[in-house]
This record gives sequence, C-alpha cells and structure tokens, in this order.
Amino acid sequence: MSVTVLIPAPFQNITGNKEKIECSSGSILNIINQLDSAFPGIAEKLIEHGSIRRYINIYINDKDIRFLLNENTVAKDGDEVMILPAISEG
Amino acid sequence: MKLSQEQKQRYKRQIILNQIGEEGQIKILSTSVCIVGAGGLGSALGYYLSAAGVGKICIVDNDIVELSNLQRQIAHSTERIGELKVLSAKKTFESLNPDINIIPERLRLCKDNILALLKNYDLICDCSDNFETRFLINDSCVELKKPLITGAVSQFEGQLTVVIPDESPCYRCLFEAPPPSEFQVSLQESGIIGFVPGVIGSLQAGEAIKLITGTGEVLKGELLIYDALKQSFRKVKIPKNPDCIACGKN
Repeated sequence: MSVTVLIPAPFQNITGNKEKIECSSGSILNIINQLDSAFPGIAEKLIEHGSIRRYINIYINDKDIRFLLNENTVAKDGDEVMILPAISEG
Repeated sequence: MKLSQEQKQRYKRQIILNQIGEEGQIKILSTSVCIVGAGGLGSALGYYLSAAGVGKICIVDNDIVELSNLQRQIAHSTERIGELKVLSAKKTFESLNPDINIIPERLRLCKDNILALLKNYDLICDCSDNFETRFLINDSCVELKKPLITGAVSQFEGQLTVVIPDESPCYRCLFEAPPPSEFQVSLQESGIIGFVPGVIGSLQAGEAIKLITGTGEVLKGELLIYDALKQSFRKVKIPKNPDCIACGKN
C-alpha cells in the first residue's frame, strides 16, 4: 500500500509525463520531498517559504488540506493526493 | 412581457420543458449577462446564451481576431482576421438570433472601469484569459453582489465554478492569489486543445440558464474539474475561507 499522488498536466514535464506517482505515507511536506528526490524541481513549483504556493491546492481524498492541517496533514496508505493548480486561459 | 408568435416558435423546444416554460423563457429574455472574454470560452458561451434568447449580452474584449485563435474561438472566422473580437462576436451571435441585443465593449477591464461596467448586468461570466482579470472580476462581483460563473481552461483540462456572493465561497476562497508572473508565462504557453473551451463554455451556459430560470442545482461551493484525456469530470468541495480577503468577515 502507498499514497497515490496525481500530478497535474503543467508539472508532468518534470515527472517524465507520469501523471500518477506512488509515495510512502507521510505529511504532505514529506510527500513533496519524496517527489522532489525522484523528480528534482517539483518542490519549487509547489512550495514557497515552506508553505504551499497560494495558487496551488492540494486535496487528500478530495478534501482541501488548507482546511485540515495544511502541509502538515498526513496522507495514509491508500489515500489519493491531488495537486491542483489554478489555470487561467479562456 | 408577452412572447410573440415568432418567439414562441424560436424557443419552442425549450419552452416545452417543464423546467422552463413560457415563464422561464420570459426570464431568459429579460436577463442581461456580461461575458468577459470573446475567446474560446466566450465563443461557446455566447453562442448558447444567444440561441437561448438571453435578451441583453455584453461582450468585453480588447483583442483582434488572429489566425491562431481560430482552432478554438468559434465565434470568429478567417475573413474576420484583424477585426475586433467584440464586433466579430456581435455579428455571429446576432446572425444566429436577431431577437437579442449584443453590446460590444472594446476594453481591457481594470480597477478603474470594472465596477461601472459590471453593475449594469444581472449575471457575470468570466471567460478571461489571465489571472489578473480573473481575480479582479471575482472581487468586483463580491463587492457588487453579482452572481459569477467562472470557467478556465488549459491544455486538456477545464475548471468551472459558480459564485453567489453572501451565499457561497468565492474564487479567492478556492485560489488565494495568482501565480507569480514567471510561472504565468509558462502556463500561457502550455497550449490548449480547441474543444475543451467548447465544453467548459457550454457548461457555463448551462449554469447561466439554471441561475436565470431557478432550475436545478448550480455549481456553487464546488469546483468541477474536466479532464478531456480521461473524459472524466470530478467535483471537489470549496470550503468558505473565513479569512478570504474578498468575501471573508474581516
């Protein structure tokens, strides 16, 4: 069992076009560090001064972590983590 | 207001719907909508609102039609390259339905002009193509207490939500701030497949018709995420942010 992280299209160039990455359970910050070890550069897209960037939302099983414990929220085995950036084209 | 024989004929297929009826059609004809952006989203949305008979539609855009627009911006055409988008869209929508009034507004919205414009319309639809305008429209709709239907697209993805001020979370409850400018450039150069704004613009039209006629459930407090590659729709809740700088208590 592991945590499934859904990578949004704008960041899939960093993950070699992978849209799903399996990580070990842990806090969101820990999971982002795991991602960055495997795909250097992705943490910079997601984190600024230790916090999730304000135009990016992260959901654990469709729940917005800003209303849980933010980047300290823990994703457990079997959970799905979705990274959702704002988009702006019309 | 009473429907003319021609109107009864034109709108017959939606008037026979229990959820619309003549009463709903009169509401549609009596409503004014402001569409910000005459691009891919605005094209699809404008087509369906015009066809449905929304009585007054303002289209706001400052750009001209370019060849590279035409793979997705279906309100325009090759012979209109170089024309103002708002005038091109007016011709298209009035050709589809001369029963309605299309008001072209050639301008780029900014803090100095947005409130004076939006206050004249019942319903606002965000079809813009940049973050600055998106946040400005949201904040202005919250201030004016105008319902807002906001759609956005990128690559093979679309996002859609409805903001009802004083009732639902707003766009800033969803995303607190725009990305830094260096990230925005890379996002804007990321490409877009033409049918995705068609899907999201059409869904914006659906939300507008439901809001106008009081039919069904609108997408307030939820974000609809469309993934065209998987052909999937997903909804996530948008909690109201008590600290939101646009709609929060403080």
